[in-house]
Amino acid sequence: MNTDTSGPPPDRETGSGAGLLRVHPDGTASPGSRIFGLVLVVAIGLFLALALAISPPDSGSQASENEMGEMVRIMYIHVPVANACYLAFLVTAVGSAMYLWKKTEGWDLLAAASAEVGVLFTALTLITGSIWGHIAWGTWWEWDARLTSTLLMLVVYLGYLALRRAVLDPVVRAKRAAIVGLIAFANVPIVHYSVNWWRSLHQQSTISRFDPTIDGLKLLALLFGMLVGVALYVWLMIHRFRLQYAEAQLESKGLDVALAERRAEAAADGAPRGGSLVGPKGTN
Amino acid sequence: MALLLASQPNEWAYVASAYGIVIAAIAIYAAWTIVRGRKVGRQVPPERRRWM
Repeated sequence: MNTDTSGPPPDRETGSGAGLLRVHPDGTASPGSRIFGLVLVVAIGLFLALALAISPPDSGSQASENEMGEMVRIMYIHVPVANACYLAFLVTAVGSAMYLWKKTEGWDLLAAASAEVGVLFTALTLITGSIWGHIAWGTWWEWDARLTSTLLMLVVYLGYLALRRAVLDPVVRAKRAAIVGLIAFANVPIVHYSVNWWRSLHQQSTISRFDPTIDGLKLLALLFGMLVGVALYVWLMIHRFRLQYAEAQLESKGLDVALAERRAEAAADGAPRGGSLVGPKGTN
Repeated sequence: MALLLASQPNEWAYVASAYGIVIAAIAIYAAWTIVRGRKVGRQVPPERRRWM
């Protein structure tokens, strides 16, 4: 039995929770996020079973107007990651607007974390869409309105992340990033409505209308996939936001140390410099 | 489009690639976030990590 009371506190050694819910003491997890993660793993397993095994191919008498065959299964993952990237960039825009209004660091951290997760989901949207396009259109890439605007969105948000790395002053960085985060969001509705506004190879909306083009288990797989995609985004955001917060704490700690060192240097240099100023004055 | 789809014998290879890439990318990103979180968290005092 450990009776030593002089060591670090227990949560520092073992973290909190027990069994499956035990979390690393230094990590970004909490018992709540661990429970959420476990539920998410089960949901992902169910989604994979539904999307890959239970739901039928898009062919035969119950086929949709596009008759995608087995390739319809790519839609069950392509649409959810695309939706998650829209959500991520919406959160970035809201975080950016709130930062400009309230000037609270937390909003800036939220915007930054969400942009990074959004970039991941956008890249996956382009990759899964490209795989689908290779079969459906016979090409990996087409300079189509939807694809081009999505690529532009990816590049703009990569620029947002690059800007955050380029500016060292946290306040200047947050302000500039917030402005870019707001402007960048203007492209998101363009991406979404591009298939309606311009002639496009990309098929039109599958479910965001009153008569969805798929039904039954296929619709269920798509809707459940979207739910899992949003949950996955939230789970990633919990961890990414906490990491962003910890990095900000570390950065401010580093700035405090650097400021203290500069002050100490200035104080140490102060006396001789003062003396040297007096010297010439006295000789005049 | 249906004819084009029917002419492709290995649709499942494309389906598996799409799912494999998405799952692998998200798993790698999640693992990176968690590992980096632990590394950075070690340097931040527990009282400043409000979620603990």
